[in-house]
Amino acid sequence: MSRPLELILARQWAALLSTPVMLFDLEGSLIFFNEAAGLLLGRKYDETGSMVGPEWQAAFPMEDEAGRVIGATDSPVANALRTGSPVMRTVTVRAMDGVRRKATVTVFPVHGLERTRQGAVCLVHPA
Amino acid sequence: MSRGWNTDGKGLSVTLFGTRGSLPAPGPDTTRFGGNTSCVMVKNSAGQALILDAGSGIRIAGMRLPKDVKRVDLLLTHLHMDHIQGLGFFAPLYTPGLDVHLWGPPSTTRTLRSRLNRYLSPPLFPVRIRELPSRVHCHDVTQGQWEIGDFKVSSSLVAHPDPTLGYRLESEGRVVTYLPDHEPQLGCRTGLPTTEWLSGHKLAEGADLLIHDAQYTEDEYLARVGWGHCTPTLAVRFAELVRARRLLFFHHDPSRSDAEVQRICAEATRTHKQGMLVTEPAAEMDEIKV
Repeated sequence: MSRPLELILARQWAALLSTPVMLFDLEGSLIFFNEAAGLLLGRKYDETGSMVGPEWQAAFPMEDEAGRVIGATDSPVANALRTGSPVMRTVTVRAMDGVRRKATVTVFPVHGLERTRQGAVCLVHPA
Repeated sequence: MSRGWNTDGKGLSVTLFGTRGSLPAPGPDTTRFGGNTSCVMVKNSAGQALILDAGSGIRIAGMRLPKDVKRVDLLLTHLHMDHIQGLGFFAPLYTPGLDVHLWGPPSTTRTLRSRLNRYLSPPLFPVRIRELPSRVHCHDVTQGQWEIGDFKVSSSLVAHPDPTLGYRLESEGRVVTYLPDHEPQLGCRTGLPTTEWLSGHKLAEGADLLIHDAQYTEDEYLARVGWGHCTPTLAVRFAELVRARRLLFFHHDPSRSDAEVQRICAEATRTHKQGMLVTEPAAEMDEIKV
């Protein structure tokens, strides 16, 4: 399998950033996260590899500001991929090292050269 | 010079009309590998031909086409000057009524025809596309597969500044992959990524002949990261990863003499440890049987 160039370049860019970045494909699978995001999520990408939607939602559930777990179809990633528009939301992540971390996530869909949607990039700002 | 592998009378013939990158480099130091910029013709045993890129080498390529040709297909990887500068001197464009199909990438806001018009119009060129006597058909392509005669053509965006395509041509059971401008190592701190994340991988996988960018030496590359080109050594790594059978080092730097091309490509070849890959520098007017 080969990824579209837009996602290949996004990964290479993310790998050089100290800003936490997660990368999702069109199906909502988490296909990469950089080292800074690994600190926030409690594990390194090298340890987890790619995770399909149900896997990452179980590995590090996100809660809304009232403490309720955000459902798969209501997640910022799902919304951005469904609507094609950026989504920004403050969440609490139950990280894979057992620590709860509050963060603001900004998810923007990646539209390719022919305006076809290729996936989404999630920037994470520790709150 | 004509040489190659196909002994069954079938297969593809690949003629290199331009192997140089960036700028034509004629002169006594470049007579072996050539001074014309990118242009390659791939022909099958039925005589159907596809032309790749319109560097200065396309002038000779156009003269080599049969006089009674009914249709010409030219596949452009991208619109940097060294890949289109010969277009205005491509003889088939001046043949009344001849169907000339141009395939290449649009930008996010302009069609291929509109982008080409920026070059084929005053003040850069006296004749506009619409004024040509041939029938020019422009096809916007990015990633996909289609057929041209007996050829199956696949294209995909590859790592190079501005929208840039690589091509995979399949016919008669043979595969030729053309990645003349390619920086698959961009952003990788060590070597090349795994194939899942490797630009151009799907196009080049298992190719019988891989024509790949090898413009810079290792030292030159360090000062030109992001300019969209590769080194001969990384081209060997890429060919190994995609399991190509034969690698042509292509897009020689215009400053490089024949002796230097020979030397840096030989050094890169020595880094190949598995012994399965055949490598050589692309030389203008060579015809390779695949």
